[in-house]
Amino acid sequence: MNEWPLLIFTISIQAAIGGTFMLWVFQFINRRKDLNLFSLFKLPLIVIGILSVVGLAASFAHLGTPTNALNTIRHVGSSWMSREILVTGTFIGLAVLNVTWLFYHKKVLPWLLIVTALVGFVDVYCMAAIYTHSLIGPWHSVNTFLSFYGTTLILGAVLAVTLLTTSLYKKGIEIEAKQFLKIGLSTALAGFGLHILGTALYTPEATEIIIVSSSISASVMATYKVITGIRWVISILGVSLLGYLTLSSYRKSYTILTIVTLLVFVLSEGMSRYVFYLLGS
Amino acid sequence: MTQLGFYIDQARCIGCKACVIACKDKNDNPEGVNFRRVYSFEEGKFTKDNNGSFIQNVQSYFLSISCNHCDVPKCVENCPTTAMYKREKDGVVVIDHDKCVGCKYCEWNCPYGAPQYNEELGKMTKCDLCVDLLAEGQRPACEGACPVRAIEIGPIDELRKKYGDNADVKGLPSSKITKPNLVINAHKHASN
Amino acid sequence: MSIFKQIKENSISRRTFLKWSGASTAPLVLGGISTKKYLKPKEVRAEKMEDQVKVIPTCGTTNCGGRCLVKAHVKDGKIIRISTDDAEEDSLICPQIRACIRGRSYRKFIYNPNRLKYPMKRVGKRGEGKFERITWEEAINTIHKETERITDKYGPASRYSVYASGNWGGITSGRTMFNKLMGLTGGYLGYHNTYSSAQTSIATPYTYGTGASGSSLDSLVNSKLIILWGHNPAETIFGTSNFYLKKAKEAGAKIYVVDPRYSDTGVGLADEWFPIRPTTDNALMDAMTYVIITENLHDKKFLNKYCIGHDEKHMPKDIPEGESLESYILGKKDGVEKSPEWAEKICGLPANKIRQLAREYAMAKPAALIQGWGPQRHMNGEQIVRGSTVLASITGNVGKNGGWASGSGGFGRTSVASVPNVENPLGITIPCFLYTDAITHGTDMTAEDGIIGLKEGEGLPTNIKLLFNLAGNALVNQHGDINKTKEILEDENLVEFIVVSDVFMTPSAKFADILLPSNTFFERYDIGLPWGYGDYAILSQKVSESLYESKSDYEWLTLLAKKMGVEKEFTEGKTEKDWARWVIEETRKEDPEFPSWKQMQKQGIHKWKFEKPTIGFEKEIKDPENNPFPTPSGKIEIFSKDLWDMNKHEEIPAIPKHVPVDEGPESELTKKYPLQLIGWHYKRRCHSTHDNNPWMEEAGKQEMWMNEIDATERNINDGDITKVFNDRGIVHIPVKVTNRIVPGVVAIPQGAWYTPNKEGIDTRGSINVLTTQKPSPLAKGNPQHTNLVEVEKAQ
Repeated sequence: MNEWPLLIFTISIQAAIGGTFMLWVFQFINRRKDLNLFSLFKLPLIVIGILSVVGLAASFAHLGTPTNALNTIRHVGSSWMSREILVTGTFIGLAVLNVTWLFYHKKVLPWLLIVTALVGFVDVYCMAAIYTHSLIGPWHSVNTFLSFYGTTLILGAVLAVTLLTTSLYKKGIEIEAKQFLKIGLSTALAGFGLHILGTALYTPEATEIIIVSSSISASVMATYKVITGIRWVISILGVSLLGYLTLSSYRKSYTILTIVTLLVFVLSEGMSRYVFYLLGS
Repeated sequence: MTQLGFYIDQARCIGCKACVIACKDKNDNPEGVNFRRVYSFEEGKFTKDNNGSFIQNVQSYFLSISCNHCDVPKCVENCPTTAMYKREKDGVVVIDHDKCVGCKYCEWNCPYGAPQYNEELGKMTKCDLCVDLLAEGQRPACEGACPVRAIEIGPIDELRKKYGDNADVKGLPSSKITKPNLVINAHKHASN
Repeated sequence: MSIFKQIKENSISRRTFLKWSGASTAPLVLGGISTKKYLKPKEVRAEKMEDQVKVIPTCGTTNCGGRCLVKAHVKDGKIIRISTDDAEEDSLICPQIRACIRGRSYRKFIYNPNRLKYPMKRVGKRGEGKFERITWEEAINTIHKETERITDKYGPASRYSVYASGNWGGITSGRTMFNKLMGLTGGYLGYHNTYSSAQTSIATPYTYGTGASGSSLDSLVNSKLIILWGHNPAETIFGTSNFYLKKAKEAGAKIYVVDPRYSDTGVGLADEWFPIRPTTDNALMDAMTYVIITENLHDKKFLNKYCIGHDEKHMPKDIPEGESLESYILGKKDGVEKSPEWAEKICGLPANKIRQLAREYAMAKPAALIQGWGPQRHMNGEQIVRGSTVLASITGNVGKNGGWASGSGGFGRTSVASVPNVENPLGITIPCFLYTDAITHGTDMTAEDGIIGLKEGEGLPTNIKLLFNLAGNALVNQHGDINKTKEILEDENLVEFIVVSDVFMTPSAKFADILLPSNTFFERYDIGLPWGYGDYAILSQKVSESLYESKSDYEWLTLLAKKMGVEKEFTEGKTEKDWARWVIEETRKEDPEFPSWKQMQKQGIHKWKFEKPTIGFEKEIKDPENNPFPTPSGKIEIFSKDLWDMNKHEEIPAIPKHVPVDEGPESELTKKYPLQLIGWHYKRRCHSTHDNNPWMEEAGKQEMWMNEIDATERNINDGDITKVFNDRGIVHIPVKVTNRIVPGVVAIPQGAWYTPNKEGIDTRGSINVLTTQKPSPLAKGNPQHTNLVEVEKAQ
C-alpha cells in the first residue's frame, strides 16, 4: 500500500464534509433558539477548514508535478478525476469561506453551511466514482459509494459532537447538547449501517483487477481480512463509547472521552480506507 | 487518419525480453518503468504415477505487450488534464508532459499496464510507438529487436488483413474494454 | 460491476473531445518524455542530431552465444543508445544478426558505476577483498618481480592462466596473449577443454572421429521433426538458432523438447514437452532404441553400411559376445530388457510417451535430434552425448539434409585469418576443470587425470604456483565447489601470486594479489566470431576511450613483455587495432569478397552467403569408399574399441549406456539429499557477466525453480527465501514455485556472484557453492548439473 496521500486526502475531506453537514443540522434544529453560534462554531469551523487544507495538501502530495495541478480540471467533460477535483476545490473554497465569513461578520451564514455540505455530498459521489470507473475490480462496487458516504457520516457526526457538545455543556446548554448527541449517535449509526450494507454487498475475492497480470495476492487477501476484522471491533468500540456519552450525564472526563471516541473512529475509518487501497494497489 | 498498431506472434514468443530492453534503452527508462513488458503465464500440474513416472498437463506461454493505442483509450477518457491524447494523424496515444500532473489515474484505467509513472520526471510515461524512428524510416525498437521476428508494426488495417483481427488471449483483459489496435496470433495454450 | 457505467455515456462524445483536446495541445509530442521543456531542447537537438550522433557498429566480446551486431549511438563520446542489425536483407541464407536482451543492455555494462577504476594491491588476507590503490607502474613491477621469482623457484610449468572467457573475442585477448608472453619466456602449463562442453567435445569423436558433427542451420527447414534435447537457445541464444528454429516451424517441422524444465524454448517453439529427470537421459535413449529395434523401425541398411557395434554381426575383432548395442538393449547379457517400462521408473517419462517419442523420431524422415550442452555437463555426460549419436545413427539421420548427427554439433564453414601465437615449449595441458587439483597435488597427476603431453607414468613437473586470471570468473565463481576452491586459494603457501584483471570486483577478483582494471570491448579493438552457427564476422571496434585508468589486457601485457625483454616479439610492432586490421587484410588475401578495413569500420559486419545448406558427414555418407569416418574403423563407432580398451567398462562403457551416478535419482544419498539440483544459462546473463546489471536483474531476478509438489511437501511458498544445502555448502535464494520443472528437481540459474554472509552462507544464489570438483570419468569435465541437495525455508 503506497497510497497514503490519497488515504489522508479522502478521510480528511470526508470528515470535513460530514462535519459541515452536522453543524448545519445543529443550527437548523436550534434555529429558533437564541444561541451564540459564533462562539459555538468557531472551533468546529476552524478545524473543518484545517481538515480541508490538510486534504488539499495531501492531494498535492499524490501528484508527481503539483505545479501542473490547475490542469486537472481541463477534462470535466469525461474524467471523473477532473470532476472530483473541481468539486473538491469548490468545497474547500466554501469551507474556507465559512470560516472567513464567521470571523469577518462574527456570525454564521446557515445557507452557506448547507450549500457547502451539499457540494461536499456531491464531492463524495465524485470521489467514489473515480474508483468505480477504474479497472481495479475491488473498487468496482457499490461498496465504494456506501463506504465513502459511511465514513462521511461517521466522522462528520463524531467530529461535530466532539467539537460542539463540550462547549455546550460548559455553557450549560445541556438539553441541546443531549439532543445533538442523540442526533450524532443516530448519524454515526446510519454511517455504520452504510458500511455494513456495503460490506454485505461486497465480495472482493470474486473481483479481479482488469489489468494484465495484476491480481490480488493471497497474502494481500489475508491482510485484508485481518485488518477488516480488527476494524469492525474498533468500530463497535467507537459506537459503544458514543452511546455511553449520549446516555450518561456530563462529567469532568467528558472532553477526554469525546476525543478518544473521535480517535477511535478515525482509526477504524482509516483502516477501512487502508484496506480499500490495499486491494487496489 | 492511418491508425497504427501491433501484430504479436505470441505463438512464437520465446520470452527472451529483447524487446523489453531494446525499448528501455531507447527510451532511457529507469528500473521499474518498462513501456513494453513480457508476461509469463502458467497452468497445469504434475501427478506422480505409482511406478515412479509422472504425468503432466503443464501449459505455459509468454505475452509481449506495450501500449495498444486503443480506439477507445480509457486513459485518454479519464485523464483529468487532457495531457493524454490520441494523435489525429496516426492514432498513436501520447502524453503531453506540459500538461501531465502525474496523478497516475491513467494507470488505473489501462487494461494493458501501459502508462507508467516516472519518479524522476514526476510524470506518466508510455510507449509512443517510436514515432521518431518511424519518421526516419526505421523500425521501432521492439520490432527491430525480436529474434524470432514476432513483432510487426504498421497500419492496423493492413495487419488485420494479413493476420486476422484477434486481440483476445487468455490472461489479457477483453479487447471490448478499449478496442486495442492489436492483432495477436495466439499461443496454443493461450487461445480463449 | 458496471451499474455505474451509464454515467460515462453522458460525457461528451469522443470526436468532440478529441477536437477539443487537439486544439489545446498544439505541440507535437515525441517519446515518453515530452514536455515542452523537454521537447524544445530535443527538437533543437533533433536538427543537429544527425551531425552529433555517430552510429558506430561493434561487437560484444564477452563469452555470449549471441555474438551480435551492437550499434553504438555515440554523442560527445558517450553511448546514448544501442541498436542492432537492421540490414535490408533478412532471409534464410542471410539473416539479420540481432542483439538479444544482453546485447541491448550493454550501456549498463560500460557505464556501471561499480567498474574497477585503477590498479590495486591486496592489503588484507587473500580473498577478503581489501585493496589499496597503486599506480600502473607499481602493478607491472610487482607482477614482473613475482613472475620472475616464482619461475626461478618452480620452473615455467608453475605458471598457469585460469580458463577465462570474459573476453572471448579472441584475437588479442588476455588468455591468448598470456600464452604468447609465457611461450616467449620459457613456457607455461596450458589447458584443454572448456567449462561449457568438455564431455561432448571429448565423447563425440569416439563415435564420429570428430566433434564437427553439425550442419548449417538452414538445413532444419527440411526436417520433419526436431527434438531439442536439453537445448534452450531461447536463453543461451546460441548463434542464430532461434531464427532458424522459427523458420523450420514455419516450414512445417514439429518441435519436441526433452528437458527437466519446460524451458523458454519449449514454451515458445515446442509442440510438446517431454520432462525427464537429469542424468537419466540414457535410460530414455536406451528405451527409445529398444522401441525402434523391437518395432523394426531402425535403418538396417544404413547401420550395416556405415556403422560398427550395432549388432553382434558388426563388431570389432576380439570383443567377446554380448557386447553389441542390440545385445545390451535386449538384455541378452544382463537379463534386463531396456524397455519403456524399465526406463519410465528411472527417467520419469511415462512408457507411452517414450514410445511416442521413439516412433515419431524413427518414422519422421528426416528428423533432427539436436543436443544442447546442458545434458553433457553431468557426471555421466559422455554417455548422454554418445547415446544421442547412436539414436541418430540407427535412424539413418546422419549426413542427411534435415537430419542431424547429434553429439557436440561443432560447425563452421567460414573463417578469418588467425593471429600468430607461439607454441608452448612445455607442451603440457591439463583439463581446465582440474586446475585446483593441479594446485594441491599437481605433481601426482598423470595422463590418467586427463593430462596431455606427459610421458607414461609421469606427473606434472610442479604444482601451480602463479595464477593469471584475465577476464574470467572461473577462478572462484564458475568453478566447482566454491568453499573448497576458496580454501585452496586462500592458502598463500599453495599459489604464491595471483594476478586478476577484470571490469568489476567479481568473486574471483577478490582473490587477486594484484587487481587490474580492464576496459570493455567498447574501448578496444577485436574481431567477433559466432559460437558456431552463423556465417559472419564482426569488427569489434573502439567506440569510446578507455574509462578511468582501465587498460586492455593486451596493453598492460605489452608493458610486462617490455619488462621481460620480449616486447618486440610479443607485439610484433602492432597495437590491437593493427592486429584487427591485419586479420581483415589477411582474410581478404584468401577471400577477396571480404570487406576492406574501411568498409568493415563502416558496416561492422560481414556475412557470407551460402545458397545451399552444408550437411555434416554428407560426403562420408554419399561416398563412403573415398571418405571414411575419421575413426579407427572408418565407420560410425556405436561400439568404440578405444573405449573398450580403457578397461573401465562400468564407468566408461564401449557402447553408450545408462550409468547411474553418485548424485543421481537412484543414489543412496537421496535419503539425505532428496532433490536433484541443476543449473541453466539464464537469459539475463552470459555466464556470470551482467549479474550486476540492474536492467538485467529487473528482467530476470535470481531465483530457484521448484515444483509445486516439492514445495508443498516442504511448506514452501512462491517467493519464500529458501535454504539450499548439501555437504559442500549452503545457499539462500528466493524460490519460484512452478510446474515448469519436474518434481524432485530444483534449478538455480548459473552465474550469480557468490556473496557470502558472516556465516559463510551465499546470499546471492551462486550454484557452485553446491557443485563438486570431482570430474566426469572420460573427459574430466565439470559435472555442474549433477548435484543432490535438500531445501527448506530459510530462517
